[in-house]
Amino acid sequence: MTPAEAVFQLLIGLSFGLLLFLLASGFTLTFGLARFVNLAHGAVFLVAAYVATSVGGPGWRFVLGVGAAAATGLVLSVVVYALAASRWRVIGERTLVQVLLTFGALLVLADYARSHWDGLPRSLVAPSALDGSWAFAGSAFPVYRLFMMGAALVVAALLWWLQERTSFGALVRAGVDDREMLAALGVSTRRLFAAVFALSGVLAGLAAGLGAPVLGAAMGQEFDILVLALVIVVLGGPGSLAGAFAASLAVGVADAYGKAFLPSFAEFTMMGLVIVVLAWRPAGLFGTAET
Amino acid sequence: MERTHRKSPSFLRRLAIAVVAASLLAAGIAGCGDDDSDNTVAKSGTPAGEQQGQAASEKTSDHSPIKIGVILSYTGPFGLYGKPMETVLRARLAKAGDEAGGRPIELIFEDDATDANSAVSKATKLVEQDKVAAVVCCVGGAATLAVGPVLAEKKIPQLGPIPNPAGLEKYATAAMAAPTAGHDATELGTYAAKKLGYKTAVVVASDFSYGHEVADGFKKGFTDAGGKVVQDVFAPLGTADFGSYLSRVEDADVAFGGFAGADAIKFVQQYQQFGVKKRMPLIGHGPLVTELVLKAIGDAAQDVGAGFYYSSTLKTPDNTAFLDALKPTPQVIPSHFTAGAWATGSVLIDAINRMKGDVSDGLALAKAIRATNIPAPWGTLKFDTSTGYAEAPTYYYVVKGAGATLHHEIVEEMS
Repeated sequence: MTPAEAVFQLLIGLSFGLLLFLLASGFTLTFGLARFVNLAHGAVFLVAAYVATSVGGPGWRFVLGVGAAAATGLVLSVVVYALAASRWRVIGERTLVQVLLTFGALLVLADYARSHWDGLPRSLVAPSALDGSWAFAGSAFPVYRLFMMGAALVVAALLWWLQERTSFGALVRAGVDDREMLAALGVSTRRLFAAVFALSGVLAGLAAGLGAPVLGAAMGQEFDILVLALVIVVLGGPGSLAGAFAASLAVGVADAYGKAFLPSFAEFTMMGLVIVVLAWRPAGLFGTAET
Repeated sequence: MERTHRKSPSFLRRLAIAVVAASLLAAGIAGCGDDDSDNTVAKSGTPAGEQQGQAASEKTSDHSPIKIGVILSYTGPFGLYGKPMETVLRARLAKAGDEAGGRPIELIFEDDATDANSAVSKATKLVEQDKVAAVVCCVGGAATLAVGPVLAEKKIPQLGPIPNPAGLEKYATAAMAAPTAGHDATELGTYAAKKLGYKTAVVVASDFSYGHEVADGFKKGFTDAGGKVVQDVFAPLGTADFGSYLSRVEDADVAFGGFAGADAIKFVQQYQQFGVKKRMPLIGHGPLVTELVLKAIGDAAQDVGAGFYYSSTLKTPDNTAFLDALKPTPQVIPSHFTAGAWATGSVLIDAINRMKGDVSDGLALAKAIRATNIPAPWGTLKFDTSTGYAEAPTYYYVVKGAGATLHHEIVEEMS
């Protein structure tokens, strides 16, 4: 392995890792801040990806596709919240009920996508300005990946700002700890959580739209995405956006080096990383110790 | 990140519960389809003689319908193929007036949910409850192989509609209306070395049975014809990012890609994006650039070559008839799946005609199916009477056009 090759693989890994962060951040958000296990996240991604490939097109219509995907994510995620909110006292507090409800929603949404888009895999071609490749280290690196990396970094920065620097972030965290006290202070926790779900949906939609030229849309994604999101949440420490960010990059880079230099073990690299990290820090990279 | 003020309920425990519950749910749902069929499995001990007796009694009423069971995948990973194949099979029979051998044909469709166990349950149900004369099965290779011995034991003919793996040769009841994927890939390997003049090749394929079958086939054909495979790489099914594999691919005269479905789209696109296409041309087994994925791949598919027994651009008379029959249902894309369903219908009609509507003896019907020699969308369809696998021409074609006009351009018949 020459240094140039190593840098090249690092770049591939970082670009994939940032895409992973986009698709896992929404899941982390509801899981960490609202403490709600939203398994429907995978299906929200799937439907948004199909919408992106249908609405999107060449040139400026790409932006339209990404926008439509984000809007789809928002609507679907709010619908899932509305389902949960209808009986929040039962659903909001019990993980098992949440899992049942959201897994059912996942199946319904995925089946809707199958019947509406005939189950065919689809793809979205990146705008021509971003469609080329740059020669690098005797190989070529797709320009679109760099764009995707930039977009994901912007989203990550916005999320950090939202969580750490705004009253919205503070309110959500307060609401998680003591909803009744927060309500007594005159804050509507329902509206707050609806906003968290909406944001989570927008993130899933953005990931689906921005990721469409790389991942496309295909049946089965609803589970693949869910597994990736779970891996990242566990690895990063539940509820920690910074952890999810670090975990996404670690998984992306490990995956790239694994594929490049140990191709026979590529499938194991990601889970191997999880095992090693959890043996070392059972609560995840940025998780707090449990009692 | 400030979180010392939080209570600390056990997140990981919650997560573990969630994951376990989700897997249980998934398992439960997969198992649902089996519930009703468990009863039929229990009945599968019915002596074969009794069945034949019932079937023989049908012979006296010559105009009773002949029932044909059809097991396709309507849900699960191959779920996209079920509905279009059903539409085409119905259209093929309608063209023959829904009858053969002077008796009406009744099709009974079942969903195997892309699951081999479900396929076995459904096959048992079709034979035991519906008393079908033959079973068309299946879309998935694993399901087809699993159903093989079950139908062989019950002496009911099995007709596979699309390329299936080898392994059913020992069952006299089985017939596959398409050549194996390995066969076509071997032909392509020979062709690449002899006609296309490639001396070295790299093989990149999907790390599951299909990928290994075509990779092995290509390697055998290519090396036997004097070529040298310098590297082979297998990527897991559902790989999201082929970048790391592609950047490590060694230089050779040609690359062989063994992917299907969503993986084929990503692989062919990224093969271009990572600049490998500039270094060496890409060829593959048919599904790499089949009609079902071609438009989704886009212009990255230009000039990719493929070896396969079917393309919708073939100009055979039966392909024209097949494409005409698809006109009322524009949502059905012509591909080897639907063309296979069409040919399967043709085989059934022809065999039952030759049996003059007497389908009481399953083994005789199976023999008649293997003796078929009729036009199919890809040319002549006949079976190797000793193995039951179809003998079909194999074509080499190249993707031409751009955007909406992307299409296969047939170069020639390889064998």
